[in-house]
Amino acid sequence: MSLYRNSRVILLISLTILALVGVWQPWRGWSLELRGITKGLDLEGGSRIVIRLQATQAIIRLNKPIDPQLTSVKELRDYLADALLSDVKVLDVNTSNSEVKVEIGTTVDETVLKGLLENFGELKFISKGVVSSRTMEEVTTTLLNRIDPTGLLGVQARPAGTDLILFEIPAMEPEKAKLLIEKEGKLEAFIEDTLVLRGADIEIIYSPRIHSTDSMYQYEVPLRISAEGAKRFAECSSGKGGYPFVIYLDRPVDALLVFDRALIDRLPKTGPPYPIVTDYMKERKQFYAKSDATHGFYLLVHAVPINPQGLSEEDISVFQEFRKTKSRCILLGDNSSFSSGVVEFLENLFDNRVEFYPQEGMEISDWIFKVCGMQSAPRISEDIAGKEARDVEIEGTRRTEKEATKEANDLKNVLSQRLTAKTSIISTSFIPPRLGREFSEEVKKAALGAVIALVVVLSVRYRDPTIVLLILATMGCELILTLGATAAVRQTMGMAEIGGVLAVIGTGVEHQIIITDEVLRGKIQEYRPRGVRGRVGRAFLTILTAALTTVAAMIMLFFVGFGAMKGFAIVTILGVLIAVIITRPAYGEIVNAVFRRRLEKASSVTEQGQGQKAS
Amino acid sequence: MFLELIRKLGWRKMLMIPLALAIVSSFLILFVGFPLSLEFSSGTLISYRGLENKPDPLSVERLLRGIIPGEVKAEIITDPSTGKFGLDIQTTAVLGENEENQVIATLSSLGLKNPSITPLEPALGRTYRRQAVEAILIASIAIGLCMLFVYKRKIVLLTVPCVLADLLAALGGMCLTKTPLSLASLAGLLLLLGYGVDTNILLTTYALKRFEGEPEERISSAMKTGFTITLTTLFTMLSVNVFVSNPSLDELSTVLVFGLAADLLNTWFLNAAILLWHLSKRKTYHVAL
Repeated sequence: MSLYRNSRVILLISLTILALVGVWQPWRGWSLELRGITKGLDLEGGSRIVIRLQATQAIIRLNKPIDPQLTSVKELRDYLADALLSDVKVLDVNTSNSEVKVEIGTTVDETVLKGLLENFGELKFISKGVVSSRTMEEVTTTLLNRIDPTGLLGVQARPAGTDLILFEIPAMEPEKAKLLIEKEGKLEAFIEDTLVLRGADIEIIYSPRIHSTDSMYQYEVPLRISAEGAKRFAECSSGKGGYPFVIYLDRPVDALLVFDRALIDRLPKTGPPYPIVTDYMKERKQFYAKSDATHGFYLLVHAVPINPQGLSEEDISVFQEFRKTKSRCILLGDNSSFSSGVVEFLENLFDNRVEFYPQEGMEISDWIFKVCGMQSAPRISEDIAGKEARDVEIEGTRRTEKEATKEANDLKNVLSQRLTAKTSIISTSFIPPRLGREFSEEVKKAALGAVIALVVVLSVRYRDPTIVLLILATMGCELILTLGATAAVRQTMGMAEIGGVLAVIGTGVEHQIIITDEVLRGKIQEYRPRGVRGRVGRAFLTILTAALTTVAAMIMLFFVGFGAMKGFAIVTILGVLIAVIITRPAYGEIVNAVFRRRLEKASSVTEQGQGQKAS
Repeated sequence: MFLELIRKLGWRKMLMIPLALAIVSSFLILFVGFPLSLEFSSGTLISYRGLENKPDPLSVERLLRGIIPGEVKAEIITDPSTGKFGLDIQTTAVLGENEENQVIATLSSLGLKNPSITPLEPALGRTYRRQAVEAILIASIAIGLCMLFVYKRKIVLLTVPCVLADLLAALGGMCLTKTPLSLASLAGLLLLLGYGVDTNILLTTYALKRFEGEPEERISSAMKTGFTITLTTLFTMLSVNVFVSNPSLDELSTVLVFGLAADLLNTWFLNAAILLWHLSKRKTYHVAL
């Protein structure tokens, strides 16, 4: 059969063309660039983000002796965690003098902590700006998982100083990275004004579900909560069937919302869709939302309406009162929505901690819900009210399926990657490619040198230009196919991944030599049609074993290794699979056909010679 | 040629050369050591922000190399919100007070003022290094299990130390040439794992799965192919090493040149000797039957 009709050869050629188009993407320009490949920090540059971890370490002498089961220590830890809505770690326990060293995942004032500890013991020592290596490691791992959940991006993180972490993120806009890093993942769920669940109560987060409802897309993120949380839910929900169960993520409890008074008149009065913000309660200084026609809830973030053009005496005194408990201010709108005098006053009052939260095309309710961190308000059905329900769902609706999927996945990601310490971003900057333009020139030189070396060794060994050409052509196909597969899985191409590509090409050449040697080992004079194919088959035992072993080793490396090693493992696995499934069988067929043709020619020459002799 | 060599040396002598190489490599790693790159070492970050003019990182690096030991890397950064420039200098040296003052004074001559100096922990810190060692160990176990599954003889488990001996020699080479352990050289070490496995499987297939001729003949036949494939890669890497001045490619090719050269010995002398010894034992057993 002609080589051009051979299915393996056709598969190799067509997939190579497909991969070439995918990697080159000619519709984006004719210049010879690898546009389909996401280049790593070394080749393309990226963002550098420095974050500061906020934690307070304290040594507390307890009023009562510490028992062997550490009950009093656990009580103290849970009490502080509840009171400060933060993670609390016990770093050290000294039973001889009843002293406990704890780390609180946020900044706490000495006076506040002393006040909280009144019934527990005495505060002996407090320090801010020092974070334990355990917390540093936990936060680094969590943020790495948030920014780069699959490990394909090759993000690098390194601790700096006592409380800083430096992230280098290739191929991600600094704004997106900032958003993912800034979210604390602090979950709270309320029934009326009672806090029922906190993030620590979540045991499992299941995969989100998306379905369409009346031209909208609804997402649900199912959660399993702890037995203790379920007990609290039962106590608080007793007799409250139909009430909303309001779930917040990163509720800006330390912030004061400021909005244009005219907004109150623009609020919708009734749904559907629900939930919607219908009112503003002046007495509570909070928005009110309806979860259905008969039930509603207050949004538990303080908000103050103002005239955006100027502040009255009354407004000023309200702000000064709130300044005692709030450390920052969020303005609903953009820079142009408020006069410069108002912004200036608030900046002075809140030590420049003033942020704008523009509407950006959102519905009014969605806008207010979002700024308050309100994620969903599912109805407590009559049959679970008062019962220890352990499965709850966070719901939300978006206009498109893509938006709903993204929102649900981000929510799951942030919830499952809750930070154990509060963080703040110190700086965001762009870093240029490390290896620069001269690197691609060097790579071209290296590739040329490598090909020359290859041609010399293969020519000396085989003294057959056809074989050398075949090996080089197959190597080229393998390179394109591996790059295509790398682009398809969106693996970022950095230094380690280049190593992976080299490994694939290198082993590719090795295997082609094994096949060629195996075929050459049969003597041409003793040509038997099945012989060549059989010898190619024998070579495949070696190749398949080598591939199996490499893939097994690389799978281990993928699961155990870190960023760079993962990239190397992924590229190598892809390349080896492509080689075994596509390139090696095709090369086997090509070599098979070439040698058969030569043998047939040789035998026909012999037959002609014998015929002439006979005649 | 290969057959004569194998017959002349015999499995005992064949073992000697690679074992000696492994001992020398271990000695170099233990007593000479290799430097660590910025990713693996702790150091210092010197940052300048709010610069109106673009600084020249190369002249900064040149100046600092004279006063700071170890690696120095200067990078220009841009602040997306202000559009102003910044300069981040990372060093593998942990600076003392005197060195800090010296650095500040030197760089102020270039118009760089008010830096922030922060000690840096390694990007690939203790946990990652432990994970790297675990990864190599588990990968070795996986290689061993695969070999056992395919060849069904316990002797093939000795392939794993033969492959690891390649890594040992590459690390020894890094000590000799002062090549730092970086992401590039780590990629080279991992690459070597793949190459080492391939040649050892070629040898094992010929030795254990083929039955034509004497074991020495089979191994010498595999040796011809094996030498071709290793020499092809070795010469390729050598050309990269000679023609290219980029540090990353240089580090990667240095590791491979040493590792592949060692692979020739570790596969075709060490592992081949082990398999020959194994096959000679089996032959005696057959005759006794």
